[in-house]
Amino acid sequence: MRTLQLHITGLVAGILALLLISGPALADGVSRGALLASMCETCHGTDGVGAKPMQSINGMDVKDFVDFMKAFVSREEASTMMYRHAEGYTDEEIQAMAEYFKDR
Amino acid sequence: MQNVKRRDFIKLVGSAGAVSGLTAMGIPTSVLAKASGKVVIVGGGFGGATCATYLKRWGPDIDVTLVERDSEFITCPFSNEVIGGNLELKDITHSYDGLKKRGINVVHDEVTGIDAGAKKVSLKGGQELAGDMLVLSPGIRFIYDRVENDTKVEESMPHAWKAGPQTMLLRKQLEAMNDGGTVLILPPPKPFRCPPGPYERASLIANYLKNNKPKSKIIIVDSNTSHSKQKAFHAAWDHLYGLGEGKMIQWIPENEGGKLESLDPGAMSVTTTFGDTFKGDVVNFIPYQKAADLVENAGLTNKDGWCDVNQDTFESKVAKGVHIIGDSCVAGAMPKSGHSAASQAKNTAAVIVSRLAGQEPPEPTYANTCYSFISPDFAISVAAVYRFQEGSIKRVAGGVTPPYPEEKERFYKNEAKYTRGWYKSITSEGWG
Ligand SMILES: Cc1cc2nc3c(=O)[nH]c(=O)nc-3n(C[C@H](O)[C@H](O)[C@H](O)COP(=O)(O)OP(=O)(O)OC[C@H]3O[C@@H](n4cnc5c(N)ncnc54)[C@H](O)[C@@H]3O)c2cc1C
Repeated sequence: MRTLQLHITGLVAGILALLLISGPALADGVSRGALLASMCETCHGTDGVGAKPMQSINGMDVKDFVDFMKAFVSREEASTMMYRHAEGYTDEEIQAMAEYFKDR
Repeated sequence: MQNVKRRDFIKLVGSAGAVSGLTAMGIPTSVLAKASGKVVIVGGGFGGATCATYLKRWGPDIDVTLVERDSEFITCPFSNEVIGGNLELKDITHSYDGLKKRGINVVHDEVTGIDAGAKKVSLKGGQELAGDMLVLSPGIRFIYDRVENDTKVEESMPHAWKAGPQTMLLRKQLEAMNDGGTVLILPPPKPFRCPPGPYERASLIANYLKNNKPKSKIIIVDSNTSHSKQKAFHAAWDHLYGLGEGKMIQWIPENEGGKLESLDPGAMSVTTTFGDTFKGDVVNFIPYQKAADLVENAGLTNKDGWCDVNQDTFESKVAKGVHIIGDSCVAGAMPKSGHSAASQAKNTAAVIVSRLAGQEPPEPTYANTCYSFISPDFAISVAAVYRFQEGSIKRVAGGVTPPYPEEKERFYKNEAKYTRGWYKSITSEGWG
């Protein structure tokens, strides 16, 4: 029983390692984070770097990204457009977008 | 899916420190299938170009072929800027070199037939192309039988609803018009490509007239009882140009005499079902629309002339492995826009890459943004986020720019700046 568990853990760890090492270069399907982020990319550009005056959103701290999105919805952060988009996503989805753009 | 999986693995394993290499464990790497295969895309517009780009981005090993009739793409977005005299056609023309640089095989030819079962298309030049999956984004066709005498009016009453020579024809007619002339804009009944388009056009023509031929007027004789961003458009028109009978812009909705009965291209006039006749010096007759000929002839349309798809995967309801996106398809609450087409293209690319890798596609997500210029320094917008719920695409958030003067002048000025940013971003994503 114990050895079996170890084997499973090892297998899972191996797959995890491959996922971590390969990153986006390995075409192993499309993550939900990447698909969600692609909705932002239409205006903010591929990998979050697009035409000005759109804000570049690549390399942003996850916490800051999440904070901006929430503040757009509450209107504490002024925006012309973002308040209408930001309210369409759950906390989990905003987190996934933030994590995606952090590494770009 | 990858992120969720990673998180689950971390939970399972406890700590990433316990990790050792997969190959070291003697486990074949084929456990994780790579996406490979061949995809043929028809149409190099907003849907097709964006889909090709994202297929290559997410599945670099996929063999992507894009078939497009024209050698360059002229965007409908910003073509109203050309009609209004603020841009030239070359400013909205995109070559396909950017897509070629991304590793996409671009074939310039017309697709004349689709074998949906074999997932094969035949080209006018005689070639046949087959793929593991097909993506069709061929846009719209015009229907000329709605109004008496409405055939063969393209030269005298240009639609300018596909950008190119028609755009320039309408522009030239406006330039030739005398001050004090009347411009008639005749929008078709819904659904049509770009719901705010006719009203943005009225705005940018008004901007041209105000600066150059200020005694002229625009009458919108509308086949609809209401229109996109109506309050925001009307408030802005009232503010910048004057709205109402005898003012620069007059809007006549369907239920107040806007329904067309017949056209007279010789007399440059239109008669409504109320018996009124309007004469124009320039007449922009926008015909009724349905999905492109290509999908109609291939038997992929429904009784209304549009393509029914499973709205989570954009796979045709009548042809497995054939995805139909953009203006041609029925996409629930999403409007027929370039932005919608791009959003659908990304979802479709995610589905195809995942399937070719032997994985489940991620849950779909959709967004749209339609900006409209009122003048080059004043714009309004509508935006929405959508979800796949109970079998169709539903709007879950969004809204329209508050009508002037609910926001300060500067708000609308900034929207105009973002309109230009939007154009640059979406077109560089599509065509490089
Ligand atoms: C005046 C105007 C303004 C607009 N403004 C905006 C805007 O600001 N924002 C916005 O989001 N949308 C706007 N739109 C709407 C936008 O243009 C369309 O929704 C969008 O182009 C749809 O994309 P698509 O891929 O479905 O079709 P298209 O972009 O029309 O692409 C279809 C392509 O398929 C090709 N094709 C068709 N049949 C064949 C065949 N048999 N063989 C080979 N190739 C073929 C065509 O040549 C074409 O290049 C506007 C539209 C108009 C008319």
